[in-house]
Amino acid sequence: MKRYFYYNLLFKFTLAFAILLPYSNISVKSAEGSTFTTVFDQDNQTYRWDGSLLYEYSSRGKLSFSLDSKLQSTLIKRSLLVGGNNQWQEDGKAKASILYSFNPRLGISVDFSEAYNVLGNQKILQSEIIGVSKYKPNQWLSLDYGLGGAVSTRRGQMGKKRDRGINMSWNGILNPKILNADIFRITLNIDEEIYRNIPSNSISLSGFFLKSFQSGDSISFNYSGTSGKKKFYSSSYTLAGINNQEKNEHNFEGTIVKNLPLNFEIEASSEILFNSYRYRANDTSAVIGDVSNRDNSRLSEDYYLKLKRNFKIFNMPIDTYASYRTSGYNENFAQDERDENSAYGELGGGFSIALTNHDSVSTDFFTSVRSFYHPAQYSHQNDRDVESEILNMNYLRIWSKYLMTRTHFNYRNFHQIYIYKEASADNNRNYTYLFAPEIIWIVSNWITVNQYFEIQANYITYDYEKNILSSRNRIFRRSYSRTEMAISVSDNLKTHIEYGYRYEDYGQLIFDEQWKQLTSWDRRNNLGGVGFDYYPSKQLKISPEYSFEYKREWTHSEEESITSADTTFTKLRVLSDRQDQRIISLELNYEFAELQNLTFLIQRRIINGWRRGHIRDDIFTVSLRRFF
Amino acid sequence: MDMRKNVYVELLAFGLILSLSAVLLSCKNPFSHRSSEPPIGSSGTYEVPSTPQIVLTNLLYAYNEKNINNFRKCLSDSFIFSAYEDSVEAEQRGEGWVFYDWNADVEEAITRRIFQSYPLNSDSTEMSLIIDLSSNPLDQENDSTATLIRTYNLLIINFTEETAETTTAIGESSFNLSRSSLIGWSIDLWSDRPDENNDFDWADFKALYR
Repeated sequence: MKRYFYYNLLFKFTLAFAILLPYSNISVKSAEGSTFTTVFDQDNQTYRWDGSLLYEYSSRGKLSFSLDSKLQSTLIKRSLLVGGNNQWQEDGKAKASILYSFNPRLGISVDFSEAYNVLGNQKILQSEIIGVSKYKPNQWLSLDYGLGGAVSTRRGQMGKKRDRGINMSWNGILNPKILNADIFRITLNIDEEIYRNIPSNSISLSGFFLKSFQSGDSISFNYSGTSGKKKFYSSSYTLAGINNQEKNEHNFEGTIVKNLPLNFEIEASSEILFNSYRYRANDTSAVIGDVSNRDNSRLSEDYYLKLKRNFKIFNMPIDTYASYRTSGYNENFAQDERDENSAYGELGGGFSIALTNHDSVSTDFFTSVRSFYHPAQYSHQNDRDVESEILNMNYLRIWSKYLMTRTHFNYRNFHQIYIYKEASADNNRNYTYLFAPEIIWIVSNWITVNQYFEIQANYITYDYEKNILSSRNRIFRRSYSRTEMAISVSDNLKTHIEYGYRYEDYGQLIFDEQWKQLTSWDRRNNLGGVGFDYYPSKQLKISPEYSFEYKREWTHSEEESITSADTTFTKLRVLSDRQDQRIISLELNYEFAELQNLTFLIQRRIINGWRRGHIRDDIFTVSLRRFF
Repeated sequence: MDMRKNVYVELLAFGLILSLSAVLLSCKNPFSHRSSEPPIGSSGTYEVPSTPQIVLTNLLYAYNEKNINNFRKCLSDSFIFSAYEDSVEAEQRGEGWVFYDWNADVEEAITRRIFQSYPLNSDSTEMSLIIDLSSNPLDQENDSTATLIRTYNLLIINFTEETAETTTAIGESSFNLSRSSLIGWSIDLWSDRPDENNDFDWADFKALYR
């Protein structure tokens, strides 16, 4: 509890400090773009404090200073934890940098950083100081060398581990003006953490080339590669052994954009990634946790080709494109049964056309197949293909400056195909159709009405169960209507009202010459709300809001009646669940200036449901953001 | 200069198109899938995710049936996995990177490797997941977002010649879900937390396959 009060006091203090700072005499005129933010958030399960401070100072001369700190503290109440007590989580870090430039070519800096993570009794504290000399002999070369010390303390339930050592870093950036490049940059970075117990080192090399031409053509290449070694503890115990990781990561990307005759443009790009990780352990007795089982390498490739053309037919501008993508990867794990190889092919295309000044249509489609392969002796039953078809269509009609309609149609089909008999019973097609028209009507300067409809059907049909009566074939249907009205009562008062209705049903899909639905449940939701934005002054906004959601669900079944003459079936529809939810909230927002504000939010939610019973949630949030 | 530029770009573009064409021509039709064998045995269980609770039921079945496609359908494209307690422990070991950037692709790859290492009907391994699917008083459900909190128990058995080594991962997961028009409900954020009396949780197990 002491800790709670401590943070509460700290929070109040920082809040007061932040509010008063701009009006006090301690504001610093030379500060550049400094920011302070703090948030306190409370609900039934957690208390959370977030704070950050970024302060930058430059004396126009040779000295500059910056401070960047962040703190997040969370108290999780015991009700959220599995049989536990209240638990604190804290993450904090702060970094202060002082830079002194002797001249434009030579400077030195000193960075202090402190980071900690606390979780209950576990604590990690890392402190570092590093001095960096910066040398820029000319415009195309800059060199940095850093040397410092670091201390790392890890305290857990199983004891305390402390490690200390030296940090060194070398950075070089070569930026020569050659090959007429817009950008040609080569970066070399070497880091060495010489800790006593768990040292690490890495070397990174990257290169970037970009050349753009007046015609719009361009060419770019990017390579980055890292090799490194790192030691880490095998467990959290004090006497834990040390494991080693060696990693190699290489990434190459290239893109060419070229204008062709007849207004065609071609874009070709590729990305190749190779990662390799090797582990060594001094304790290999564990069956599950043997670190050498994590040895792996992966090569992935992605190639993309896109052909575009913009032209006119009967004075109607048309943008068209066609695309092709092929990609894949190969994995190699120490344990072969984890390996997977994949290949992917995708063909796509689309167009957008302005039919008139008031009508425009756009369409995109994609068809693709992704195949997965596995070592035959291990996991071949996971071999599978996924075939996909996607179609998106949009139609926009501007009837007048007061009335606009939008219509959206979407079709998707995913066909999942397991190749081998062990899993092929699960082969199925998943179809989704969505149709969504929308009307936007500006009734007058102070009233806008938006009406949105949506109809969706989702079918799942199993390849080998089409004619089985008790199949897993299913259909889900949904329709939704939402009416929104925004009313500007006066310059100081605006209101919005919303009402929505959703209908959903779900059931078995039976094939008897044609597909038929056997509904197993249906659900209806009524939802809506009303809210106000009231501006007593230019800076202050008061926003009360009320919203509700009433949900009802019915299950469907059949009752069989057998008489001597006949057997009859009576369809039953029984209310199986009802839930009413109401939310009332009040938000106050005070704007000191653009993007600088103080916000309070209080919210109460009440739920009454057959399954969930009575629940009450309260939320309180206060946040502050200031520049100085 | 202009001539040099044109030759420069055209040569590169030509080379790239030529290589792509060669790749295309050397492959079989990339838009035809392989044919499948008629099935034997059991099959996967999957329902349209029309409620947040159904997503967790699908997740449970996908895990026990080792069905990676059905598992992937439970995750949104913006999925994030988080395990704060385990992350702190990993940082303590100097191995914090294990939990960095854990998105949908990482989750899918890890789970697929787990499924491949613990296949159905294996003589040498077994893995079984139990999630308490009953409603939790702390659940929150709105029209398009929901948070469901569930306890789980994951039993992992590795059979050796003499004995069976059994490991149990116990903990609590908090799932933040959202609804989209086309795919229904899916998981955006999965936060895992160990049981107070059991140090080994689901996140620890998954991290071994990263």
